Amino acid sequence: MSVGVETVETVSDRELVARCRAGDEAAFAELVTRHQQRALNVAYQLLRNHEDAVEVAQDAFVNIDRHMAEFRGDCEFTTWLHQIVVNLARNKLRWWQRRGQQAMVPLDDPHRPEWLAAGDPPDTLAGQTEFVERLGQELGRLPRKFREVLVLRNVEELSYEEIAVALRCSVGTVKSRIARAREELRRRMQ
Amino acid sequence: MRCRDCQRELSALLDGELPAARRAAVETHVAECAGCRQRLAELRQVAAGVAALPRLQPSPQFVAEVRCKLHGGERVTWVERLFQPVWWKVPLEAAAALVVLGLAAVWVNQSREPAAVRSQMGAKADRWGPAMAESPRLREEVEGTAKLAAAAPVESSARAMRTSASDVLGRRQLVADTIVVEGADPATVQRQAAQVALALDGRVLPSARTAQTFQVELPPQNVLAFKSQLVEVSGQPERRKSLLSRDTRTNGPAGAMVAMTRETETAGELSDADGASAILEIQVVPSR
Repeated sequence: MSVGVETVETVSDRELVARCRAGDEAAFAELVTRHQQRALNVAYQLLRNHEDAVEVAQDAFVNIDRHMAEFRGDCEFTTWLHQIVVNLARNKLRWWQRRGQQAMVPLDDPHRPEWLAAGDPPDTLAGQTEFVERLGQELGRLPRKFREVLVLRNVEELSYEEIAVALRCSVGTVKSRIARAREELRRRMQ
Repeated sequence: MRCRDCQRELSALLDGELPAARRAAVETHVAECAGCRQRLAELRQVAAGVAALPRLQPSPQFVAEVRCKLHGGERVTWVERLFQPVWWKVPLEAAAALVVLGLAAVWVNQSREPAAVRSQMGAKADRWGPAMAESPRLREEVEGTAKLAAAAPVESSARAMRTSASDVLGRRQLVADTIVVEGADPATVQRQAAQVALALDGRVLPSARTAQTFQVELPPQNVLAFKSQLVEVSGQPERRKSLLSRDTRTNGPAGAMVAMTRETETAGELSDADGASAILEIQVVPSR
C-alpha cells in the first residue's frame, strides 16, 4: 500500500503508525520529518552536545522503526518518542560518565552559530538573551532528573501526566520534581 | 494558608495543574502575600526562560541519515552485541569462561571422588560381604572410610589416610599397616627394608615423603613375611601404628583399613591376578 506525500501530511500520527506497520516507508519518513525537531531538541537540552543530540535523535527513530509492532497506542506517539529519546540520552550520559567526561559543551561553543537557531523569545524576555543564555548554562548543570522534567514541561510543553508516562513515574513525582527543579534554577539565577 | 504550603504549589499553579479548590486557595494567598507574589514572578521568569532556550534546526539530511542507519546495516547483530567492543568484552568474557570452567572442574572432581571411593570401597565390601554382613560395625567403618577419604582432612594423620585412598583409586594398591621402627638410623632401616622387599618380589617406592618415612610395595601374600623378616633384620619388635588419630580411630575408619588389610593378608583373597599390590609404610622414629 503506497501513500503519496500529500496524503500522509494530513493524517494523524496514529494513522501513520498503522501505515508504518503495514510497511509504508513514506509514512515512516513523514513521522520522522514531523517529529525530528522535537526529538533533536529534547536530546540537545538533555545532553547539551550537538553531535550526541543528533545521534540520539536519529537512533530514537531507528528504535521506533524496529519496535513499531510493540507500540500499543495507549499513549500518544510523541509521548513514546519522548520516552525513547530520554532513555537514549540517559544511556549517552552514562556512557560519558563511565569515561569520566562531561558531554556538555558551553553555549558559547564556536560551532554554535552554525546549528543553533534562536527561538522566539516571549515579549517579557525580549532583550534578555543574556538571562536566557545563563539560564541554559545553569539548566545544563542541574541534576539529570530535574533537567528532564523541565525540558519536557517548558520546552515540549507536555502535561504532568504525559511527562509521567514518558519518564515512567507517578504524576505526584513529576509535580514535586518540577517544583524543586524550578526552585533550584530560581535560586541559582539570583 | 501558610507561605510554605503556598510556595510548594506555585509551580503547579503556573502550569495549570492544580485542582480548582486548591488553585483558589493559592491564588487568594498570593494576592495577599507580597513575598509569595514575588516568588511566583521569579518562577514564571525561570519557566519562560527555559521555554525560550534556543532550538536546534535539524539538518536537511536528517531523514536520509535515519534511513541510512535503518538500511545501511547498522543493525546490531547478537554477535556484535556479544563481542563488541572487542578490546574489553573478549578478554572479560574469556576470563569469565575460564573461571566458570575452573569452578566446573572443581565441582566435577569433588562430586566424582566420593563416588569413586564409594565404588572402590563397595567392591571390597562386596568381596567381604559375608564378614560385613556379620559385622555391621565393619560395614560402618568401611563406609566411614570412604566418606573420610573424600573429605580432604587437614591433620597429618588424616593426610596419610587421604594418600591411602588415592592409592586405592589410582593404582589398585592396598595400604597395609604403618610399621614404626624406634631408635634406628633411617638410612639403615631403608636399606634393610629394600633388601628384604627385593627378596619378596617387592621394592621401596621412590616417592618417600621424608627420610624417616618411606613406603614398600609388596605382593599382598608377602606382607606377613616382609614384616617378620624386617623385624628379624632390624632386631626390633614390630609395632603397628594407626593411620588416624585416637578420636577417629574409636569410630573406626582407620581401623577399617587395617581390618581390610588383615583380612586380605589372612584370607589371601587378593591374588596377583587382581593386579593389586600392598603398600607398607615404614616410619623411623627416635627412641623414647
